[in-house]
Amino acid sequence: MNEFPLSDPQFWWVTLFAVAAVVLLIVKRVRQSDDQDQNGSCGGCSSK
Amino acid sequence: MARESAGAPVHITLVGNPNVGKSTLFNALVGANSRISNYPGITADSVIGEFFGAEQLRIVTDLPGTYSLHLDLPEAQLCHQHLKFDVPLQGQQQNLIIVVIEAVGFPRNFQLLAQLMALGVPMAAVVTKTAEAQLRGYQIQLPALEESLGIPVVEAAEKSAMRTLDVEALIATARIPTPVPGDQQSIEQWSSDLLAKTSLPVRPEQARRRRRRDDRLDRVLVHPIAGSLLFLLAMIIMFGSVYWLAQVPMEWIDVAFGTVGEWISTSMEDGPLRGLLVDGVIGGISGTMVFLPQILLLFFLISLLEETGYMARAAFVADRWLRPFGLPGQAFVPLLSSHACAIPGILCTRLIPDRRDRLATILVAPFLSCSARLPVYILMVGILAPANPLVAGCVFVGCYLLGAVVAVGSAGLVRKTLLTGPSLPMVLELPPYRLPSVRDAARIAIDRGWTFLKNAGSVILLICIVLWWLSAYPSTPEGPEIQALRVAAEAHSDPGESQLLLDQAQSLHLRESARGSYAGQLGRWIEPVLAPIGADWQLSVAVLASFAAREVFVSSLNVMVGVNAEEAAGSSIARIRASKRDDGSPLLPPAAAGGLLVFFILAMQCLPTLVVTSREAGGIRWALLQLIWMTSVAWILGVLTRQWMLAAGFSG
Repeated sequence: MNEFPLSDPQFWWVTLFAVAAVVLLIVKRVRQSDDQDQNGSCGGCSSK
Repeated sequence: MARESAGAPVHITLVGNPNVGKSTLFNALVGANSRISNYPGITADSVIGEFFGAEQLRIVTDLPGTYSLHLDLPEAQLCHQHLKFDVPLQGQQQNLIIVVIEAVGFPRNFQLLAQLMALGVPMAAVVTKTAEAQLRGYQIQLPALEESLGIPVVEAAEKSAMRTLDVEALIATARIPTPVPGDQQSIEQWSSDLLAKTSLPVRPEQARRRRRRDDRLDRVLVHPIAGSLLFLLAMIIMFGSVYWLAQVPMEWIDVAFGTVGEWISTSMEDGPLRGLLVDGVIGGISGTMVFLPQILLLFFLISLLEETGYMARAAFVADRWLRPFGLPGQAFVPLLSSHACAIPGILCTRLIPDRRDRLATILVAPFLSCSARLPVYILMVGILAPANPLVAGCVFVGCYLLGAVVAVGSAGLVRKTLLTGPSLPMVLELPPYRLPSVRDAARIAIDRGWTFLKNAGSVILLICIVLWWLSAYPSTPEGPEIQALRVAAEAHSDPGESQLLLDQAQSLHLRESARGSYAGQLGRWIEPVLAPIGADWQLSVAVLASFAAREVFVSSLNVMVGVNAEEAAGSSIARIRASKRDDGSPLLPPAAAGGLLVFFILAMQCLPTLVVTSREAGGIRWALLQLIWMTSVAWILGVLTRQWMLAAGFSG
């Protein structure tokens, strides 16, 4: 059976960082769509 | 912190013929990195930027290049719309036009100039490429031009001179010019007077000699066979030297990150935070950063080649190869831009007048190798051709060629089935050959490298943190087999044997934990689809993560193998190359590396490109067609490559 170390405070810290990363990725994606509308770049490539 | 403007903003509109340097001036003014090239048609739409000068906000609009405001072309209509309607609407606010005039082909600017002078808006002019005009045997007399036009005129002899232009003086002295009478005969008379007054011959004999030399070189470099072979050779030498020269700085970066990882591993207690920092953050960033030297070198060499005037000849040679496949000559610029990123390439297709030509170009543009694929190429080429720069260079060129060949083949297919009809020829002016500016090339390479780094520091880092969590949880408790090994280790009298058993138990536990994690479950779920191209569950997770953005592949893999590795830290590329599958075989044997490389060259793994295709092609069905076609071709050719390599005796 698989498990989560819920009693380990470090587990909660790394989970918090992972959730924050997901939120930031979504925010970045939304902003990127706006940038594409203005200047045109996928954000991943080294060119605009 | 945002600054406040001490008064109404000044609206500046940059206008001029195609390829005269408007985007260079725009970038010099607002500090943006919009793509600038030697080819006309890089700005397909208007681009807006801002900067502060004399405590006032300046809003700059960079319009696409046009020879006249009254042509039946999208860029001419866009300029006409902006200048006729938007500029007057800016009302009482200050506004002015900066017309960019190219000294090379000077009379070509006059038609547009006369039309702009009739608008009644304050104007100033920047004359570009005056150094190149002198090479061609004539010089523009700036005081005479200023007097004839009745507006301030400044000179930018070279691209780099744009950065030192006194734009504030131009804004302060801009004047409404005296309009030229509107009938064609008067414009022709005015043009011929202006040319006689402002253009003087200089060193004509030297210019003639230079033209003769250029003609001799062109006879070879744009020759249908010799030109194509030389282009191929130039690319092999370029990629080979990039691969060879970048090895040492890549090792430095790898070792530096490895050292930091080891230092953290020894100074922090074992736990999830250490794992996140070492395997998620450092592993993720180093997996991208290590490719920076190759990216810098590649863009530096491409910029040098472009400045010599050779790349325009390459365009001419490539046009001959494109036309039989039903692609128009105008498709060359979008396809070339796609080598940096498919999105500006797709936006450039707006300049292709025919709808079928445009759609065919949009559909195949993402086949061309963009810079985001480079890290994957570098990793795989390193496995396929270790320590042989010449072979590595050839494989690199092969990657780019495969993308280009499949792109034109697909275009030919789509033009013969879904989008039938003829294509238009391309008109291209070949610039004179010249010595490139090392400083400009270095600046362009640093700009590109910085964009790459910013990306590594944001999106890739975030994805790596999420992927680390998914690879670490839920954790799997030690099974009876592992517990038995630990008990046996404790009971053993020989410390060496005991340690061996403990290592075996640890290795088994890591493998079981990785398989039981969310990433492991996901990887095993999609593994059957990707197994024929050589991917196990770890590679499958990295491929899946890279569907959002290709460059995530290597970093994701680095995080995955980091979490599963028995040693906490080490050189990232070496770690990936030394990683094992669940059965103990190498993670990336040559045949699997070949299959995956071909898959990555051709697969549609860029969500933003699909969004832009859907918008530019006018329907989601085109984006779906692109996704299904590219992924299918990539998978089939990936499987064939792996099978062929297995048959040839490679392990995989």
